[in-house]
Amino acid sequence: MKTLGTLGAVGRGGWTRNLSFAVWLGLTCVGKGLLGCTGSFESATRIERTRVVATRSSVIGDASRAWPRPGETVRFDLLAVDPNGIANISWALVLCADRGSAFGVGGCAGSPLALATQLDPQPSTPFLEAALPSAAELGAVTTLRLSAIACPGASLRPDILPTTNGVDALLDPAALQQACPVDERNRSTLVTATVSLQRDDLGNRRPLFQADTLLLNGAPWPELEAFSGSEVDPVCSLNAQGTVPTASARRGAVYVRSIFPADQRDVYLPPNGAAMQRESLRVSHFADAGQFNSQFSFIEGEADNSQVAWIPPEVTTPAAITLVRFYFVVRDQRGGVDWTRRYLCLVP
Amino acid sequence: MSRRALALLLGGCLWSWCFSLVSAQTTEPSSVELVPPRFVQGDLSAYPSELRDTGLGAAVDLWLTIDAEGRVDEVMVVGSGGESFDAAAVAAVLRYRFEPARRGQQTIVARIAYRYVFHPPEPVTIPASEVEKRMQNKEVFPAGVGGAAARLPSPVATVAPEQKVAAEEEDDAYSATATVDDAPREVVRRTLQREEILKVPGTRGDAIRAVELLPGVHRPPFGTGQLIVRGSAPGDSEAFVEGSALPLVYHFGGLTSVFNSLLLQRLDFYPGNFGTRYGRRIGGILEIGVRDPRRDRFGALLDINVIDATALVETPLDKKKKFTLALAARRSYIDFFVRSFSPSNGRLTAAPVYWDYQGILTYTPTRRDRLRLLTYGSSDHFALVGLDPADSDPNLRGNIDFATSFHRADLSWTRQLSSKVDQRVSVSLGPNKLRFAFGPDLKFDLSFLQMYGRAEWRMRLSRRFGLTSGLDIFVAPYDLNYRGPQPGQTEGQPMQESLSTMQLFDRSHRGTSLRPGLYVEADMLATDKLRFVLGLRGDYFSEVQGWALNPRLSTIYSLTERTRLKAGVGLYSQAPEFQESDATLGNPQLKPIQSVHSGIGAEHQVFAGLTIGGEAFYKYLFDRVVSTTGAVAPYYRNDGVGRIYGLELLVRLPPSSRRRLYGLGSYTLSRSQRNDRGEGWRLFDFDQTHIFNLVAGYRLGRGWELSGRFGLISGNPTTPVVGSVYSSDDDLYVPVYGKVNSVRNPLYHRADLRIQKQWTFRVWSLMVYLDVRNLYNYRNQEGISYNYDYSQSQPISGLPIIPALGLRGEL
Repeated sequence: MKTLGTLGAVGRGGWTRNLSFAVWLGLTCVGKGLLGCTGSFESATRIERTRVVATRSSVIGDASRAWPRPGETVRFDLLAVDPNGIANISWALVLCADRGSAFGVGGCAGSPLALATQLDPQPSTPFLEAALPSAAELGAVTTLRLSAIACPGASLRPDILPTTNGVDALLDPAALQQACPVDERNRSTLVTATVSLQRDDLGNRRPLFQADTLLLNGAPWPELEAFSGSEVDPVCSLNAQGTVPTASARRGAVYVRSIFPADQRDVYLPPNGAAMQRESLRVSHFADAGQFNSQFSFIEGEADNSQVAWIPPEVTTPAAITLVRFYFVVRDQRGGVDWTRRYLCLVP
Repeated sequence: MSRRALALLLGGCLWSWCFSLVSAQTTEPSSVELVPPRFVQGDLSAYPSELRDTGLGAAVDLWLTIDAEGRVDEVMVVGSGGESFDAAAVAAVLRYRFEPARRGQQTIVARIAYRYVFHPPEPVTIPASEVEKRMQNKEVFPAGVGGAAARLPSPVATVAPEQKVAAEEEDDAYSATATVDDAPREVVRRTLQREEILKVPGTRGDAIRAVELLPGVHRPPFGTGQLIVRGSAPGDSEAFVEGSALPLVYHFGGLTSVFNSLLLQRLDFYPGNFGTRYGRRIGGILEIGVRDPRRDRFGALLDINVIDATALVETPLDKKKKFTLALAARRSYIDFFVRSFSPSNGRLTAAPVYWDYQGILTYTPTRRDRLRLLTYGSSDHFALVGLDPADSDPNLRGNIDFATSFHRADLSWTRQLSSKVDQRVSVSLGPNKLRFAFGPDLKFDLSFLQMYGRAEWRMRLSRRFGLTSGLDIFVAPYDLNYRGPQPGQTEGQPMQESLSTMQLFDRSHRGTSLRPGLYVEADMLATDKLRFVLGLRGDYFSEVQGWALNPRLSTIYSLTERTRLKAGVGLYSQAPEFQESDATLGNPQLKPIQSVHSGIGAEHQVFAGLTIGGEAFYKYLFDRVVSTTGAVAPYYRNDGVGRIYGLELLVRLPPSSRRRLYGLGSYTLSRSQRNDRGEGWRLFDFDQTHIFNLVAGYRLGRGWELSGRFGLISGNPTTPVVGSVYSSDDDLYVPVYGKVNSVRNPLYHRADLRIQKQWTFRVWSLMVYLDVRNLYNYRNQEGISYNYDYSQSQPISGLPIIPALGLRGEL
């Protein structure tokens, strides 16, 4: 949940002259973090409609690298999730040079470098492959901007797409609705992402989910092929063979641990930093039923794992067995991203 | 200290010496046209019968308003000697008769300061002639006009020094000195007296919060207690304690001020058009006047309520009562309750706790001199560890550590150099610390040593001409360590964005802020009814290496004895905020911010005690500091302007021995707008169109007293969120804003109630009070919170009903 003006307080008032501003900042942050602002909103960890939860860049030919060099070909994938498994969306992705901004929504400087669209909704994974211009053509550009629109259940109007200004033209709600005329059940999503260019030997390797990265209540939680909504019953009926783990709604929270050994985390020199440091990984957790106690967990410092609790939904039909889809995204907070899916059969 | 500061201090000393020379040559008395009241008859030896066997003595400081017929029309206790002595003193002086004060041949209403001293077991009786002798004045301040400016005792040249000295050398058992405050020099100075401000409901007796009742004062943002005056930003106004800037006015939460109200004498509030004595601010000024410790005997007080406890002791230190001392301390005990509370995802290691202290040591070697050492300080601290990442902002996780503290020692020397010249020199010094950290990406650690000095001379060169001149200097070496986002502009920039989506910086910086100022003010009586105050102030701001020269003019026309018209115009300057001009965070090439204040108003005394007043004002701001587009280097420019205009009304009926009823009503109608980078006018963040406050109290008798307060205030403007963009870098949504400050929170309203009962025993008194804030538990909207993608919103409610039960014992 977001609270009014939290970080605005950083800039409000004179630090040397009016300490009460800082007091306010402290209290607001405390309230935001834990005390006073417990709203009744839906949890961000619960997938209740079509949502975008990540974009990923990987260099063609060396998928472990997140930062492309000028002249290389790079692929951008967009993870759109849906309570029914695979999102039925139209979409457009555009790549351009980043115009830079200390905060707010980033935009494009100059014409798009690449564009990919799916104008009619389809159960597909949005992606864009782009051959980057040479270093000479890119000049002083150090970062690129990936912009996207995901339009669930409706067709995109081809004449209103994020182009020269990234998503700027669609920030107006009326323009967005014109470009993506979704019904009341759906919500279009504008997406923005920063793509750093590798200009020297110091690149950025993506953290990668492995088969043994995730543990469910301490036991390995292997990845399976994706299932669509119509396959729910067969999936959980296969449970007898132990393919999909099972949890009981009555037993309460289920614990998920993410393990990323130190070699998955690059050592790098931060901007304005004096010493090399190891990356800090941020793991995001989503499920299409129940909710996690926290959307994020961190693996930083000397730690090699993090744990979150998933609280099952209340079971309203005692006899039903529910397939729950989980999505996990890991970010090295420098542009390296990976994701994975997991399944769980929830029994009453 | 820099060479520049040293040079200025030496210059000040030189100036002081020059003034001493001037004063030595100007000691001959001037002609007197205003004649003070002359004592005729009255009981000078009253003593409370119930205390006759106690052997106690006491002194009660009073303000007497003497009407044009010579009757005591109004008595205000400004320095209590205890309930019984207060009552006896008030009862006695109400029967006094005077020859009324006169201006020329015309009798006028006047106000005098009066100390009633009780000496056991046999009260000392002083002949009436002696009283009269001690009440000689050169000037009489017409009572009830100009906001009842009361200062006790005032060192201003009012009584011939020879007479004062003579009085001191004689028996000190009884003195009645008609001291006269300066005639009002400002267009608006609103003074709240101690008795008035300690009884405001909803404040638990916290006097400084009573300022919020005055016109021109906006309701502060939720939980901050900031001083927002006449549509100016919070950082544009400042609070002073006896002329020294107070770095922090409130403990966290904004419910309790850092300076103990029991030691306050008065609050002087200048919402605008203030004189050249105050500079470096373009908003308003709050001057907190501190009282002297008791001179008559030892006194003690203990106040315990549900939030904190206060202890106070005060006493004369020697037989001649030249030294007096007061010590006070307060500590909250929120931590005792909160220790048992643990947030669901964190562990509390240092529960919220605050404390503050005050010490006053006065030395009065002669009637002409007074030295005072004032020490005070404050601390707030709490800490939490092991917090899970917030869904809205994962960088807010781990540990929270918040601590702020300051300590101050303020030494002042007031000397009456001659009958025409007064001098006041003060120096204050003290460390300040502010530490705030939340998780790995937000850290603010600032320490600075605040040094403040002021030397001022007031000269009454003739009946029609006075001159005030002085210099003040603010020096603050600081050490800052910061990690966080680039700070935005101080207001008008909605920032609901999460820390995680912003570019973060590490900054460390050491520097010295140096701000010397010189001022001069001429006070000219053009006719008996028309007065001009013309001033000039020059300031230097080392942060931006900029100078400011501020001319100011006010004029006051006394239409009748009870009615006064006034108008003023002036230029005001202020340094940019610290982060705006800091070389590592902002732009040191900025210029000082400027503002033109203009105002016109009238005051009328309906009858003794009841005054009404109104002012219209217009302020224009230019060279305002605003962020650059996109907040890119140089981050800030002087590209903003602003305009603020409004109307203020005030009706006051202060507490008095003549009435059971007292009250205050205020209303402000105003509009405050800003224009950033020429993008068009918008509302100021804290623009409040209507501000209405009503306070009323009634003494029921037998020690019972009931008071209530009601406030009705426009909601603050807010900027709507019209959409959002998913930032894949952080797995968070970035809000898309509509027009800045284009919608408002709903109307704010709140009622508070206070009821107290006091029992008076032989040597002590006991009070029980119940102070209820937000009586009908209305959940005012203070802001809006949003869900993760800004598609849903809900109001953030303010504080619920807060009943505070307290107990106060006084010796």
